[in-house]
Amino acid sequence: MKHAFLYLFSLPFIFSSNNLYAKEVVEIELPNLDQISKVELIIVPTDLRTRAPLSEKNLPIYGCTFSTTSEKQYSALLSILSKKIKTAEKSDSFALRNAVYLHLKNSEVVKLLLNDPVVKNGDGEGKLEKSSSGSESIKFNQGMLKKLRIWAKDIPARKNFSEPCLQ
Amino acid sequence: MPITFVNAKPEYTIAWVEAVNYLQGSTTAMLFLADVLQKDINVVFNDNHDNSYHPGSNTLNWDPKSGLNILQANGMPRVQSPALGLFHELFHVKQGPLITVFDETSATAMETIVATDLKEPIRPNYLSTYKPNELIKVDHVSAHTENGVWVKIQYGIHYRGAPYDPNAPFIYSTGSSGGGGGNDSPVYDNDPMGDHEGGGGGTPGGYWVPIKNGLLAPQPDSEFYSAAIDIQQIYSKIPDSTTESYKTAIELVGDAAQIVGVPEAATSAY
Repeated sequence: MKHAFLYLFSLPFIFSSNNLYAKEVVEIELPNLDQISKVELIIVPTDLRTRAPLSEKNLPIYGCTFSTTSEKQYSALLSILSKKIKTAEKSDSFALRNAVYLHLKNSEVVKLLLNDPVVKNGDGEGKLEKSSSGSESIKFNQGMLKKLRIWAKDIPARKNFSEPCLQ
Repeated sequence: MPITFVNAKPEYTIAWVEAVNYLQGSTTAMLFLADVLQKDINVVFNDNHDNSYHPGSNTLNWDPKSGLNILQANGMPRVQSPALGLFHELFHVKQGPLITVFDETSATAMETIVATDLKEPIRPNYLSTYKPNELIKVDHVSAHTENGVWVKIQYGIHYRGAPYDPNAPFIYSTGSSGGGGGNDSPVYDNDPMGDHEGGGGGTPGGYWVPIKNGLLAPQPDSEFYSAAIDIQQIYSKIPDSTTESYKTAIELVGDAAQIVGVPEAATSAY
């Protein structure tokens, strides 16, 4: 898969009391395969509990980091991401638990910061951050995390690895 | 032995006993501890702010000097004690391996009940922490802020410290120069060389003042074990109390500040 674009057309209009608000159609664009130089995935064991909510700073301490420079693996990862992510109403209230870092050849980093879905079978919440264009809220199908864990099983470069990360 | 200290050192053991003693100032915590401390738990102490629980390995990680900088409902940053962090993780022990990360909602709700009992500040929800310095080093398991001022209870004696400055949580001195001198201030100096503005020795109000005198300092071990016996006696008479408190917390949805029994004033008083 050469390109991974997500077009989002959900909720083109929102009705609120007597007013009609038009909502822009938002397009999420993930990098092309040939733009990527490295991929990192950090997964925290689902059952880990912490006093303070996790941050990007301590995510690698509590979670397992998988990294790859394989185009084949990039392709598989983008395929997972592009089918599972949608834009969402702005929210800063998600609890960070997992992250995907797409390191680009132009030194930019595209971040997907993800929670673990609160409700079984519900959507997950997160944030897409690009150093060039800021961040936006996203939601994702819960099955995406399961697919990411399956993807990670084939990634040999691991830091702080423990089996619960893949369960 | 129900609880195993994986890396026991004297200072860690004392910290544990002091934390349990301090938490028993809350009736809810006292009843809860009598139950949960009978469980098998592996406790790993650390000094790197790791306050967590892994159900898979049944391991509780606790830093006895890690305070949590929270944001109250009114937006003011305040500090909860390391002991309250221990309680938070012990609540997860009670929960066991549940399914979702937002077991944290119920853990925070229970934490709020105990924090209110102990006059510690409360966070309106799990995510409400003061960034980037959400975890800060304090010098005692009970050290926290109360009405914006540092307080701690050590060997039964209440101490009052300096006004809390959320913009400079790291520049209080524990050194021997300036300020109150000696090992007497609430937060460890992360800037011992004094490079940070206002850092090093001379800090605003770097002191602890006893505010409740006349109490003899009990021996930690005898205090703990005698208290534990009493708790068992109390608990045996009202066996459902802990369970009911637990259920109440589990059933709570939404902001912890909305807990029944926590008056609105409690959320704005600190």
